[in-house]
Amino acid sequence: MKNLSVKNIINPKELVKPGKFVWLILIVMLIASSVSSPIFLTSRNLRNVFLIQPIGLAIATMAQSVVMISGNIDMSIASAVSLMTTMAAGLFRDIPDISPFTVSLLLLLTGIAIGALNGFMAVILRIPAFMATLATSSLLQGVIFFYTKRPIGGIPKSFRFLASYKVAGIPICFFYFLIIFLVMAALLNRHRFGNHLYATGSDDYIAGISGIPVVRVKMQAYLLGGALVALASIFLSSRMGGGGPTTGDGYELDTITAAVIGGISLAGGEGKLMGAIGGVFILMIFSNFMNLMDINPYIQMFLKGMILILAVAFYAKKDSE
Amino acid sequence: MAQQMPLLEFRKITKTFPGVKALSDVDMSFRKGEVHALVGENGAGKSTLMKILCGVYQPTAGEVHFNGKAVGIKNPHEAQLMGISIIFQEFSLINHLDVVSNVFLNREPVGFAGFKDKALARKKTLEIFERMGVEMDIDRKISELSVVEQQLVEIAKALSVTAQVLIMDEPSAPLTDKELTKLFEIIRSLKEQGVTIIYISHMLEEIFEIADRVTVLKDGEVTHTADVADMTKDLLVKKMVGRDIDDIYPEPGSPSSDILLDVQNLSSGERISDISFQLRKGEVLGLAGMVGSGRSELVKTLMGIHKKDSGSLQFDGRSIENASMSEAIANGFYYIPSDRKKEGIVAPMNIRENTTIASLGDFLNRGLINRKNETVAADAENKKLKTKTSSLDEQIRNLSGGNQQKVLLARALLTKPKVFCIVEPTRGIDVGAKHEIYKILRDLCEAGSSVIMVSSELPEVIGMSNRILVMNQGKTAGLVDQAEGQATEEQILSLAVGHEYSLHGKETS
Repeated sequence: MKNLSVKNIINPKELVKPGKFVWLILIVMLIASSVSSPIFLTSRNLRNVFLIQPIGLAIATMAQSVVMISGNIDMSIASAVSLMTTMAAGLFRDIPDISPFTVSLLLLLTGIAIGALNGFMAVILRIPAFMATLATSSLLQGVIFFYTKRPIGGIPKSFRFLASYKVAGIPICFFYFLIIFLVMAALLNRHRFGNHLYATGSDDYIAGISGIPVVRVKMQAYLLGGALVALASIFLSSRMGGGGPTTGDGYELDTITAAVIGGISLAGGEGKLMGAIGGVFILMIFSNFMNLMDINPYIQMFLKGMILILAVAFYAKKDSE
Repeated sequence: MAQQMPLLEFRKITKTFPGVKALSDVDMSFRKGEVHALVGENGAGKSTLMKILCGVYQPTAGEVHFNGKAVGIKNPHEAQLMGISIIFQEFSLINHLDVVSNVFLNREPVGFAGFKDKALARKKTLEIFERMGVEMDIDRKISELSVVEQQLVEIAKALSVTAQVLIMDEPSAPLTDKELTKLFEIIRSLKEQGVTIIYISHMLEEIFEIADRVTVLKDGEVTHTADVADMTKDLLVKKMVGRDIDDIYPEPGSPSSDILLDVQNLSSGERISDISFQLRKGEVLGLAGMVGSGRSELVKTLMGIHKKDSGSLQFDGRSIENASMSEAIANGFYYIPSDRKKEGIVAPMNIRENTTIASLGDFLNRGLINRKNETVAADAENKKLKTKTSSLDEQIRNLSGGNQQKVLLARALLTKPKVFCIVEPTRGIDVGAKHEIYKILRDLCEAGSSVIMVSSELPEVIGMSNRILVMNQGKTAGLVDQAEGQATEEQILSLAVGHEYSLHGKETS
């Protein structure tokens, strides 16, 4: 366990390694937030910032991360979230007796279908992933607006319990996230699929001549990503009690920002899921801090863009060294 | 070996790429448990043939027979399942993964539900390295390993398969004698276990030491197959190139005594310190030394790639800085690095574009590129260097190593360099193309330029250089002027190792 030696933790070179750097920033932000706002450290705020608010973005960022590690990108996450939350609300509105289980299952299938569409275009037809998934995004947006132009509410309590119920003071949605995270982390770090995913994203030619079915692996990444976006949408519709055409707005960039801050390489094949989750917390604390300090949301948007530029520049510089 | 059914057979294998016929009607057979060497110049089709065997390429025509049956090897995974394993010439390792993951890439020992059995993988990996007699930190990432270590991992990866056929494509290139001896021991023990080994190498000594039979490929066709015992080195070379080996280096010419470049007390970080030398007009100055002695660092400092901490450059009687690569090129310097693939060729571009990319400014007409002039210039230069290609529009990545190097030389010549730095000019290039590249360098000198050549091959340094600057640990260890009598390998080696070691073998550690 040489990685845990004191020298390695304090060694500045180790700290700027993707993954560790994230936690350093996170600690600095925690301290800064605690000092500058009395509300930050209240248990209510902390529970919100750490256990409830980040869940949707965290699960969606896992989706983005898996696709990014495979060497592609998913620009359709925002529209997919909007579509699926709208769909959940619509299903409950139009089919009164529908069970939460059925709705969840339908969302999951929809998510996987969207992943399959992305994968078909980006992997099978070899349309550049950026373009293909952007096209998917527009396509989904069209579907939503065809169905409804305004948000739909009224999701029943039976479905909302995921975001509202608590066990021993801890919201159960946090366990929902934790289980998904642990499964994904095990899949990426301990399962052979993870090896193949990293190898494919790192260099698909070499992975191919080593016998790895790279097309299948990239396809699986999109399918898995689609399923994760569905799981994120289930949580979000439960939390908001509804969904609409703009529910997911900002998620394409936020998921990429969080992943990149967390050390997931835009070039593929590199980065840990745990780091990406760290990136999510950084974004969350950042916006919580901004809200507590009552800073104009448009300025927040601007600053978030700056963060992404800084993060990408930071890793680009590290790569060139 | 008596009449025995061959384990593996190529029957009339033909492979064409756009514009190039890489293989035509290749017939070859391999017996069980033999070491069969495959030789031929670069571009002769050896690697293509092996890639067909591994399922990376599909043959345009012909059949592969394995164990007496015709087989279609559709992808590398199928080849693995059949027991065909390969050590690729270019590395096939994933940089971001550690040694264990690479050795067992796609064959990870798995336990419950496909989860990796990392402990078992580590144990097996350690066993393989033990068998190879090599110490290796198997938890390190590939990107942290040296080239030699990467090659050892590559070999371990191939050995981790219980193979019936093991292909080794230039396995020895980066290895030292000690590791090579180990490799040969491993090959012999595999042979005893009945593994068929296809051994590709430019090093003829190796073939005579390890191989049972040898097949020569030339221009995509089999020209000769024989038992090694019935062959001589000279005969083999003749079959490969149709020419004797002696006349490979051109005449040394007669450089003037005018000094083109005067380097004084050049230092750069910990890489090189206090280097002084003079480069004469029209000479080839060889830079010799062990790996890590600072040879290529010296060149990179001259070219402005590494920052110089101190020292002065006098060029053609004036003082210059060469603070950046572009400044160096503007001053009439040019540099061809050793790693063609990473630092030389622009892979997605064609030959014309690769030739003119460094001198596009010469073809501008009101700010736009004059395609006609560009094409004429690229065509002339490549014709002069005899680049083998169907057309200038061919992608450079489809060329063999020797022809890629010629395009890079054509690119350099278009900038009309005065000081021409080249590192490992013939690495991975066959005998025939080597000769042509030597001649190009010599012609450049005849035309009044000077060449600084870094090379790890002592015969090349001795054969090509007018004078040889030997380096050791970032410092000048000696300067050998061949006008005073030809240098010997021993002489240079003893300077390069600082007299501390005995002169036998190429000890590098």
